[in-house]
Amino acid sequence: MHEYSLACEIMDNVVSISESNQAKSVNSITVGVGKLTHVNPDQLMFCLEALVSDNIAQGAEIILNEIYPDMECQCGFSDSGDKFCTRGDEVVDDIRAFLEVPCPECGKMMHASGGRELIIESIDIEQ
Amino acid sequence: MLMHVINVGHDVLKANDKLAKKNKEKLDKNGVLAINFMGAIGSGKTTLIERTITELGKKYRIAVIAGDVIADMDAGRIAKLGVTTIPVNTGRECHLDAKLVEKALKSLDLKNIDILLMENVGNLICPADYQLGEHLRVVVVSVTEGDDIVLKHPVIFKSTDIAIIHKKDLAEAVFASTEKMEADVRHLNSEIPVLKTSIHDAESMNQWFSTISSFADERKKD
Repeated sequence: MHEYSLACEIMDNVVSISESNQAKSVNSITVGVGKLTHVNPDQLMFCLEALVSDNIAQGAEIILNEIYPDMECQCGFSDSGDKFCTRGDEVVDDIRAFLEVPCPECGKMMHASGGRELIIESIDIEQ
Repeated sequence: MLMHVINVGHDVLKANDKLAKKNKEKLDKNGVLAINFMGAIGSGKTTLIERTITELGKKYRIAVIAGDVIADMDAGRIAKLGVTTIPVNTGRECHLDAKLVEKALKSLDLKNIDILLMENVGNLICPADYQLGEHLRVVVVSVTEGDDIVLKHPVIFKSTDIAIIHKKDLAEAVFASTEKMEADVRHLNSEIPVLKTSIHDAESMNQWFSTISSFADERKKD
């Protein structure tokens, strides 16, 4: 998978944004990971932690937020994808959960909107 | 010391999509139809590309971007057919991305190309997340991968424009049902053409060639 190169790209951005804001150090980096990407949050975390060892972000806490898609129906119904992660008693919390979801209002298959992001949401710095 | 939270909002994956859009604009400007071939290792992408060049090369000016992790064996095979072939080594990456394609496009004389075939790295997972600037996404899946392969990789089949169930002549030998594979694709993506092909079945290959021709002719008219 491509977690390492994505982590490098995230870190390049974090370093340049921190430097241009005259940061002395970085307390935390918050990254949003879309549930419909193939990015594995655990692997991304591992790579980011490895990359904050010898730069301005050394020691920064990495916070990953999962971003759920919105499930939308032609009939106008829409709700956050996290409401649709159970199948009977089973919790399905990966890509499969959002592929075939019938609308609770009209029964038609809904469309997943969003959840394809990998966003550097914020950086908490010391100036 | 002052603590300060910077709201960034930079989407790393969207940055690729923006670049892909630029690539597409460049291709559009030159009237090139670009096709992104995705599929597992050994699914038959390179052979399908070779046959496509042999058949459609009579009518269209074709060029190829051949992606591989390392080495340029595929590019070598394709270049033997006399078409311009740009090998792209992705290094540690498991997919082509818009940046690699942008660079490759610079080496191509786009004005004199009708169809650009882009062979992605053999993998059904990562290429799904990356737009390259293509007009058509084609997933090649062979029966030898097992007939549950489609449902195991729903994202790539959801995002494709054409699905090819390849090596259909081997289905019986590997206990695979092409009917199941086709039904699985249609279940995920009901609108797209699903072709069952084998290089040993000329009629099935002709179906593929005419599908691509019709897309290429449509673009010529634009």
